[in-house]
Amino acid sequence: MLIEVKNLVKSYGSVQAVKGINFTVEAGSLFSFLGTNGAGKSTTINVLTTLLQQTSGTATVGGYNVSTNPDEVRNLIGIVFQDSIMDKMLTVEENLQVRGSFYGLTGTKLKQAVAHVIEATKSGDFAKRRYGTLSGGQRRRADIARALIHTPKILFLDEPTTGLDPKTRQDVWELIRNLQKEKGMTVFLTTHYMEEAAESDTIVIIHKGEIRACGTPEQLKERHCTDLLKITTANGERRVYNLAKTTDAFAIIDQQQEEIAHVEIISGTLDDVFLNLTEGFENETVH
Amino acid sequence: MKQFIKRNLLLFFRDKANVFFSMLAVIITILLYIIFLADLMAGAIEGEMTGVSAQDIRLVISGLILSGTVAVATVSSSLNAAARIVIDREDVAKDFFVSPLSRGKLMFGYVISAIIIGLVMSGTALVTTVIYLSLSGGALLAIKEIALLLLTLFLGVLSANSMLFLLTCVVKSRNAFSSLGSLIGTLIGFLAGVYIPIGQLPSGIAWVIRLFPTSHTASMFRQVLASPTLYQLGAPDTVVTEINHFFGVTFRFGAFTTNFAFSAVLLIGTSILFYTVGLFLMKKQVYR
Repeated sequence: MLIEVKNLVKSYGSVQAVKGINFTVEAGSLFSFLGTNGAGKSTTINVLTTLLQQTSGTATVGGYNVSTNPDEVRNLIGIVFQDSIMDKMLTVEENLQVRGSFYGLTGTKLKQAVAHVIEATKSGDFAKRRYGTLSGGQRRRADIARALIHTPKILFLDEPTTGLDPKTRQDVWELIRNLQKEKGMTVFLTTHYMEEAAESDTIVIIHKGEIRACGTPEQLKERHCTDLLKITTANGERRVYNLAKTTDAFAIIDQQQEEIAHVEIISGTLDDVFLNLTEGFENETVH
Repeated sequence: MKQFIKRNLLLFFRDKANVFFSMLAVIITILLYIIFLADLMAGAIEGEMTGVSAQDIRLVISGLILSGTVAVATVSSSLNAAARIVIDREDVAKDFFVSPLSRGKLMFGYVISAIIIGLVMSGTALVTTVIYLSLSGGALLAIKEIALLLLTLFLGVLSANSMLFLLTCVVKSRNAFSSLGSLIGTLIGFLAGVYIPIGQLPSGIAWVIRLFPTSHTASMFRQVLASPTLYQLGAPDTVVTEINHFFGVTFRFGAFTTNFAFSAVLLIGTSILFYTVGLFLMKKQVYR
């Protein structure tokens, strides 16, 4: 396991932001960490990225304890923060050089690393422009380039596509997926967009500092939401059924075959899973 | 480290408007003095110096006061440079803290770049002052005097930087630091005994000035830029001593009178003290 979190607790004064959570992240996987604002996502990420000291429990990244060996962890991880935080008055290239030097890169090695990440993120067109003058999508590419400057094993992305237009979102997302698939990089993602999470290997949903669910997208859908069967009869009556299993639909359709004018099966989505687990939201259930 | 220092310098000097107004602030204090204050101050001692030309008196006074403005410039220019730490802390610092670069090295980088900026900016003020004094009839500086001026400039900037470094460790928000900055900018000229000579102030305030490091930067500059001209006027020793104490060329601690070496050691000592306390406070902060 590349990341292991055991009984992690973080309190701010008397408020427990994270209440003893456990999870693991497998090497090479795409891992999504979902939760509403204030659920404890950022706190957990800040502990894993050595920015915050936990109150109790342990967290290891690549076998290194984040509290006792922070520098080893820092060499293994690259982070794309929610907000763009490079120097606006410097060019992308200058920014990358400064950040690269923080990892002990100098001279030719530094130049090579900068050139390499610019190429990997297709940032060549704007590498010589000041960061402050870039568009949202260009900034994100530059941010990802910065996160990759020391060839980390794990990439943390904190809502990387929030605030981007759909096309740019798709481009950024494609870039992230390529990094994960082609380079075998482990990606730790938080996002608000369920369709992005749907492509991950593992999803963990955190709510009010506790883990509510963990599994593949399919497992979560199976366990935490139901499919809906909608039937419209010949005389215009609409009937809605909650299906425990999708195949249950056959029996109901068989039974009412004579009256049916229209049949629709709506499969549960991750949105439903998320809402069910975080709000106790109920589907429009009738029968 | 080299890259980080380069970054801080680029960020400072690329902000052209900021550099321009920092320069302007320094030049304006010098101009204000030349236009308004010089005659006023010269009038104050003319009565005591009989048989000395008004031009010579004015030259001495110019040396005394402009030395003070350069000392003030060491602080005001360092203020802008030190603000970088506070700005970064609100903005990009977490991006630094997720890298293995140690906090100590990072701070060292900030300090070195702020000192370089301070040297460039207040160096400009010093050069302007020296040129003005030469043009108004002052003697050309010898190598030794130039060396003493550079030493004073360096120690002055170091001392200013150490005080502001300590402040950046205590003041967390950018707004608070900028308000504090205006406050310091206003007070510093008085605290260093520049706008009003120490001899005209009540003894309590005079004590504050005597203990304040920047006053010693000013005192060291005065000893190089004004004392030689003062001695040449041929006034009796008692009058010279009195003028020295009145204008803060030297300070009196009881029977002891400060000199160049004493002030230099005081600047180094207080700088070490402020840096140490700052580092200690910094270690306790949230980010590791």
